[in-house]
Amino acid sequence: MITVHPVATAWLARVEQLAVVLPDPERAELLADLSDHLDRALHPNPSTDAVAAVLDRLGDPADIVAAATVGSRERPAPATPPPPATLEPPPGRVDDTLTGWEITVLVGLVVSGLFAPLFVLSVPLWVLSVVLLFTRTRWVGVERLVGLAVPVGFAVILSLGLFATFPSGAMICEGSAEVGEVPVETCYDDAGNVVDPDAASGVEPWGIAAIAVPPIASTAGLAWMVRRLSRRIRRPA
Amino acid sequence: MTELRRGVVEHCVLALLEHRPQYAYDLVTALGRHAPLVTSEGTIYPLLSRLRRAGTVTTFLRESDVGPPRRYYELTADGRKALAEFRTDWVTFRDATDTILETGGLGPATEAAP
Repeated sequence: MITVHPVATAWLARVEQLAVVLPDPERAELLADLSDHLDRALHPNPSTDAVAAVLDRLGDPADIVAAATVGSRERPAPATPPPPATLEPPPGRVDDTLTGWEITVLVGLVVSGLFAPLFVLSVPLWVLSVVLLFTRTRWVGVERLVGLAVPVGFAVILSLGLFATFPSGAMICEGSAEVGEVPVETCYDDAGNVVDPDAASGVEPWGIAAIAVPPIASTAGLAWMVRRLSRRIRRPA
Repeated sequence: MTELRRGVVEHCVLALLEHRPQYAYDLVTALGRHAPLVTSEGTIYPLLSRLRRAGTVTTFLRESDVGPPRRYYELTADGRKALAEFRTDWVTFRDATDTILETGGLGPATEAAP
């Protein structure tokens, strides 16, 4: 800022003081606008009269801040990260500043991860999403790398799910005589030993954690990308 | 009157941007020349920010021969649509108001815009 006339500086300070009621980005934008205006309107080393005339046209700081208060905070702060391991939340809820391409990329990344074992679907979809991520979205640098890796976290769900449903060892079960009202099923493993079918297909606690953590990490990654982008957009050009 | 003025001035900004993008300072001083429309030049900046958040205008920076890059305002497709609608609405609104003010409501009824 070039304007150094004490009267102009005091006037700007007054606006800044009153503008504490505004959200940070809006206050910063207003002060930048007004200080740019003063720079443009005043020659270097302006006379006090010239400064007074420009400030008179700009008006009372209280009026300006009041004008900025109208319709301020129309949009709430970015939504909190979505609950873990869900599909992409509806676009409007996260931030309505995402473009169609950006929403497409996010959905593509999540779906390609969820259906990772179906290579025919997941691999082309992942490639397409990554190409769009790099060419059609406003994500940059490390945000792109996070986007690239997001499907990995979701891939765990179906992959480990399949693994847990079909344990590696073969198991033969046969229904047998009922004891009372309860049908009894007896299962044998490869070696012919009797095994408990529930125990065989049951998932250990650490297994649940192994399935839950990567999708949560990926969801957090997505939320972080959206948040970074929306913050950058909201900052005036 | 404040609400009415605000709505009208917002559309005047859109009209000023109809043919070309404008530097924020030029836009503000151009509007400031129409005293009945704006209370002061300073109150126009928040209005511009509001239009940008509403998506009817967008901004970009352009290098300047003197000083730092300047912020320009430009009409979006939504802005063009809003301006076109306002043009129609404004004429019928103004005519109806004029009729009532001049005749005390004894004149012919005004048709709504299609």
